[in-house]
Amino acid sequence: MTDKEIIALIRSGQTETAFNAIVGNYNERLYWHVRHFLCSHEDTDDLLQEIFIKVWSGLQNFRGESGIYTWLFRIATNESLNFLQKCRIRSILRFGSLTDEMAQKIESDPYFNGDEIERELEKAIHRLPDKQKTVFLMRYREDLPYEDISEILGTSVGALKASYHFAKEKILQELDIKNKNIKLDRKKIVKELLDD
Amino acid sequence: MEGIRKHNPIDVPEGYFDSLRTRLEAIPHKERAERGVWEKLMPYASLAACFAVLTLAGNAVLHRTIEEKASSEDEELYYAGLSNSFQNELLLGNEVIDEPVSEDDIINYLIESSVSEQSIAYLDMK
Repeated sequence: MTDKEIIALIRSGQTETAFNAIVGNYNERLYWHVRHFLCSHEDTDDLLQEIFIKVWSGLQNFRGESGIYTWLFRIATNESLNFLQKCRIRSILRFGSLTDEMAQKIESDPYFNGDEIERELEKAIHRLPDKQKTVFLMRYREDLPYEDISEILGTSVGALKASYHFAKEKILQELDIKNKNIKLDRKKIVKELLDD
Repeated sequence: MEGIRKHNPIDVPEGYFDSLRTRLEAIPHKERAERGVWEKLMPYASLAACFAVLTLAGNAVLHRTIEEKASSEDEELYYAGLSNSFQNELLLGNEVIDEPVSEDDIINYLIESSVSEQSIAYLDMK
């Protein structure tokens, strides 16, 4: 079912059918979107439930001013960033840091099947500031076009490109330091990151 | 390594997305059921809230009455310390305003006030 058909269902009052169509179309995409932010399958599963509860309660008032896709990704992004903010506060109260907590999650994630380079890359992404991390994950991991990211985040395409550029530079620097220890093929990583 | 970008280094448990879809599709029923329970409980909750407000208000009024009573008991104790005659005067003084005084009342009052019988007889003759 297309987004237009879903909007038509909402307008005709068939919210439950519309909701089920949204779940069918977007559950997997939103899972990956949230999962890249949270680095934990269990946290993602819990947060996804909350996100879809919000979607269900918001559906009654959805006017279709923005597309379904934009609306869903906006909710999911905000909820993920709020979740990370809560984790950050919890970590500070335990005299730790969110970066360490995320690194630990990546290390102990039973569903992470990447090699050492990918693990280091994942950790480097989670050391980025929230804004840069959001742009980087959406562009690099989810392959979303800048135009879509711009609509979801309400930021200009130019600003997004700049954010992505700075994020990439930081990650390359981080990986370069790590390279000395784990002998990574930097050229390959650079090629991957620069090959937009 | 074919390339980091093309390879998603994260897995999910087998059959996860099927179970996720089922659970997410159950949200409307669950939410409606929860709202239904709340709507059923709403009148009882309102009643309980009213009862709580009334209890608190009643308690406050009762507390105030007890305090007033305690202060009037203090006053009574004070008056009890006064002489009987003065108290009687006070009581009779109040009665004078409300009711007409008969001759017998005057005689009784004089007897209680330890006025001699001769004096009473003399006044009665007058």
